[in-house]
Amino acid sequence: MTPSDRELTMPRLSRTVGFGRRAFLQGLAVTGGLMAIAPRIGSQATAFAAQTPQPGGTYRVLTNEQFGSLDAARAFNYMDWWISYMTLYNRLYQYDAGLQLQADLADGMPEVSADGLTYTIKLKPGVKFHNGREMTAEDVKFSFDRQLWPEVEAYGGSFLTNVVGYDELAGLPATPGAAVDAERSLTGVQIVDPLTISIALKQPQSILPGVLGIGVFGIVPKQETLEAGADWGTTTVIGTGPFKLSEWISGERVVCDRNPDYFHPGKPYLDRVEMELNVAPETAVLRWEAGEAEMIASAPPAELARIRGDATLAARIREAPSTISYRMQFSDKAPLYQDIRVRQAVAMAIDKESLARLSQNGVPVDSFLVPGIAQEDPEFATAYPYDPEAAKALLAEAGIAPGTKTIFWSGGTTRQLGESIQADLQAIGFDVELLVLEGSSLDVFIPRIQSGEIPLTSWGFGYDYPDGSEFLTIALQCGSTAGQAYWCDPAIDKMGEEIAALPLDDPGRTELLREVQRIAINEQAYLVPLYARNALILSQDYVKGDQLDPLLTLPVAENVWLEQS
Amino acid sequence: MAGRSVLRAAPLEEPLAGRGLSSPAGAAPLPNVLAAREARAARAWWVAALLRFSHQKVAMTAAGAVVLLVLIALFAPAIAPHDPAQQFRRDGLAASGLPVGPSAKFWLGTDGLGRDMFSRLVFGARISLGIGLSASLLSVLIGVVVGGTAAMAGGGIDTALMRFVDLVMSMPSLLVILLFVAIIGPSIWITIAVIVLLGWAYPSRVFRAEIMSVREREFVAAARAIGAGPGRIFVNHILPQVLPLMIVYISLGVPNAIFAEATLGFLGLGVPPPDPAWGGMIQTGTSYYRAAPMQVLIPGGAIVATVIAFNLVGSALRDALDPTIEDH
Repeated sequence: MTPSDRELTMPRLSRTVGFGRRAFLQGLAVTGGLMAIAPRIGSQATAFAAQTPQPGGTYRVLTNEQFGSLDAARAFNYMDWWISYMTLYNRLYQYDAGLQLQADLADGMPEVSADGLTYTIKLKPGVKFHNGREMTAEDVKFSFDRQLWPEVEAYGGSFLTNVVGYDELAGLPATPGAAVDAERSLTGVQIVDPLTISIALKQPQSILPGVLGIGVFGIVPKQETLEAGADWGTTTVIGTGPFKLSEWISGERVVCDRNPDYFHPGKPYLDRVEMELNVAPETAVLRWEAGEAEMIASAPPAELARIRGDATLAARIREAPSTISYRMQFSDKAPLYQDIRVRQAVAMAIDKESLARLSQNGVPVDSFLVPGIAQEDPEFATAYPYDPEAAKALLAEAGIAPGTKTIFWSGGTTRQLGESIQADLQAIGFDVELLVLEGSSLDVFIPRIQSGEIPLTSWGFGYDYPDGSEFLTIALQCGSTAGQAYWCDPAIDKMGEEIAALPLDDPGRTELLREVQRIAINEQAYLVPLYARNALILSQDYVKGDQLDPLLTLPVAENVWLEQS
Repeated sequence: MAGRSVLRAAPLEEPLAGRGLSSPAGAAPLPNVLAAREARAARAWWVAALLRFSHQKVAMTAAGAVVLLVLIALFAPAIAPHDPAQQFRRDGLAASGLPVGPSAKFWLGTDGLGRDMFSRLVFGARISLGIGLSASLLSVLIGVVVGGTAAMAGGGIDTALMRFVDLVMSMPSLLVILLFVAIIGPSIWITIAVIVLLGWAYPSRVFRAEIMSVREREFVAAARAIGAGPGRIFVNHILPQVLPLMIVYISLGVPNAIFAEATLGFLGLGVPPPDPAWGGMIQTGTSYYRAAPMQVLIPGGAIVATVIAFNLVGSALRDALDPTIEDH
């Protein structure tokens, strides 16, 4: 396979430079899917089940990734994130298959003060870590505090900016080694009693419980983590999750065994999860066909087309809508794109249908409030449908001569899709230099994008929690630390603040988010949504309960079981 | 090195042969009888070499292939039925999104973006041959200059230059090439530059040895005796002697340069899209190796055929320009 599918990691960049790290990577690593007619998120869960799960068996996963840490706060990529999120750790809250928020380590939903500034969260009693020790509020507070410790290199801090005490901890100098100063505490997070914590906010933020369900906030044991020091996340990995780490040979394989003390009764069903690392996608597909794997999450599009053409193999595809979508953005610093007509022309030049078809599992979208997101607007349509002739006319009107040079960085899309977009832009008269991420580090591009030298970019984004406000904070609000080029629009910014303060079920919140979308896409053409992607894995006939989580786009490990013949 | 014997066995003694070889058609007439004799002799030498070459059937076939490739590259716009960058999204891709097979419209089918494979192959010949020939030519020229300087100057300069050559040759070429391309960014010119950057070292050694042996010959001594300076000796008396060897090395260098270009393209660091180059075509075709194997076989076959043709021509030229081999 191309180097594109090799571990395009962006460690340490992640949330702090701001965009959906996970979705960005997924866009490159994974493909597959049924175009259109995919069931709506939420309805897919009912199609499965019916049978009684059978315990036992090993679930073998092949991936082209390798990774550096299995610390919940640092698992940055895709499969390490799955291991961390789905097997090793739990969070206070978690979205279920229907994208409803459920309490997990928390004992019920939080108690919110009248001013909306204090959240009191009770913890489930008797939850044990893999080493047998019971989880307490100390561990929970520690798991939040350390997000801001520089040596942890976590990306969770950017989700905690609204927590009281964030400013005091942010920008701490890195302490050498893993020397940890217990004084570095997030003052807004307080231990009320051994099984209760409270979180104080600067501004009301109704989505907070959803935010706490993000994988980075997996709860780790305080004492054990501090004792392990630099070994934490590599040789010492302890969580509360359904599986515990048994072996990890860097670059080779990860083995997790069943946690018999798991606090979800009767789960997990599998005895073992085995992941082989650094397997080229083409090789992985061959081995999957030979029956050597129960899950592959990175089939190349061409292979997928072949597999879809074979009824036996096609029956082993698991596919579901995801919240992942791709978009193009313009730099606000590039003179060429200051003229809205040029942005509109670009929006009209892109053949989204073709992109979706080439991706093998995409659906064209006009919106960033994609299906599954609470504020989805089925009525919304772009004001700039595909029309190359109109685009040319707009460029002429804007005084842009044919042959004008521009640079397009296909960061969120593969080289192939990048070439498709390049051809679209050439067709309306641009002379486009195409840059792809393949074989290069993201760090090379970020400064060039931020300076406006690379004015056109494509990005992938997957929601960490199914609320449109996340996209806003990452791609549209002023002052975001995002590494991508975006426009700081005071009107959008003001609406963003209002949205954060409104209760989740307030209809005004939905209206405001839809209004932001209308301004950003239709009125100002700050960005061009391209296509949404289905989640897709290659499974086996005897694997049950492996329906795909709409946010994670992978199976929920504790629900998976193998049908014994 | 067989090339070395070419010149030792050169049928004419300098200065006559040297003059003649530098202008094989006798285009630089000297105002005396000696000059006319020299020109005739030189012409005879080239004719003999060409005759020897033409007697090798395989070599003639390969030469035919090379000529054909060059013609295809030169007249690509007239030969290719489509624009190589045009994406036929309606009829160039199957409903599954896979490339379509050969048809009246797409003679060799299409690629993963619905572009005509034949047109891309034809235009790709331009880039692959262009890079191959120019990189090889430049490598040999630099090799002759460096090798020649070392041989003529001798002493400390010779030692310094040759240690530098050792240094260049000891570098892991692919890594160095990748490093340069990664830093500067891929383009045709960078591809040529990095191939030349590492490609001149080996020829420079060969030409140094060759020129050192020529330098000791009587006609050079004679030239020196009548007061010719080193520059003049090098250009007028030595260079013509190594010309056949240069031709051999240029033709043998082309396949290496094409391979280097293909490797870079395969690693995604070759000629930037949408320009078609054979290595890049293989790279984009790799993911289709089971679904549509022609995506890899077609450009791969073109590279193999070209490399074999240039290698055959190169080795036949080497034999033809070496009269001692004719006897075997």
